Amino acid sequence: MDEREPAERAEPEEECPLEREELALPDGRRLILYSRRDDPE
Amino acid sequence: MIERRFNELRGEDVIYAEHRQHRTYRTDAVDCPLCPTRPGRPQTEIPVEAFEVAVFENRFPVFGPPDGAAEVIVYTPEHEGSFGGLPAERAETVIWVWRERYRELGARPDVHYVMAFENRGDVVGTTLHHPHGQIYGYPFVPPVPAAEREADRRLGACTVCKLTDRELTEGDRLVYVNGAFVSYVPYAARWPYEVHVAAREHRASLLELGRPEVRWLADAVQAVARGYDALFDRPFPYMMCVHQAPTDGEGGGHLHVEFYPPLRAPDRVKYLASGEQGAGTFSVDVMPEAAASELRAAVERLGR
Repeated sequence: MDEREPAERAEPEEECPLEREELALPDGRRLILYSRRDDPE
Repeated sequence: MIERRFNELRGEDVIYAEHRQHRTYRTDAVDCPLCPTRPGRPQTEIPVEAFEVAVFENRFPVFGPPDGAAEVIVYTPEHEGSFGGLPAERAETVIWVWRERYRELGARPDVHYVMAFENRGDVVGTTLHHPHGQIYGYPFVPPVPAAEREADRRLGACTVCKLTDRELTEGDRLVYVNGAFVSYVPYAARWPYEVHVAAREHRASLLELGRPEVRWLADAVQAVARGYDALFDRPFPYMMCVHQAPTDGEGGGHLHVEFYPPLRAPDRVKYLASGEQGAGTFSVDVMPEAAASELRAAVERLGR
């Protein structure tokens, strides 16, 4: 079991690292594509 | 058409959505509506060739404007896999998306509670096998979070904080502990291998997490999911629900993820039968301390 020390508390409302692209599906429903702005992948 | 009726005898709402009888059911990979749209193939729900994480309004919703929301979240373009098997970075991205959907849906006046969840496995009714979950924006605070809020009032403090402290002190029901989250089989678990993954410090919602804690949460949820698969050496079905503060402005809530797996043995399902349905009292065949010991060993076998 990992017993590492607790992480330092992050600032609330930290900036989200996601890019967002919104599209409309043919029937009018909403599609949102999320990707990482900081590209950790 | 969606109709909400109040069940007086139970004191709870019931949702009727007849259109869901005809929702897409167990397609194979070729016809999967959650895969990207491939050149020369019919359009899926996601009309692009590549994406990381996609969210769309459910075609067969239980809730919808002006009374709530029902969304599908697709974790990956890959048809095979599971949340536990995602690369760590992608699991983090999914959690960031949960956070954004909580922020956006929770800001709507018609949404009083946001729950991200995943049903995994045929035995819990999964109709599509592509790795995905759902997000409901309830136009009311449902009975389970309402009970959590009532527990806080009864105890005069955050119940999840108290329970998590107890688990850390007693130790014999712990499954996995990392830098910011504690995973344990609850003292009074209702399911044989139920696990809760709770923020170690008080955090009402994902909005209070920064990058390090998002990373720890992804690590903890993946450790539990992989531990489940290792437990009986088979894909382990579960229901996974993310509990956060209600968004009705009345306070309460402590971020935690609850897993309810229906198996009590590799080939035995724990059914919710008369005792649970008719009287509301669970009976469980596995002691929480024994279940935790097995799960802890399974997680440790994976090298965590």
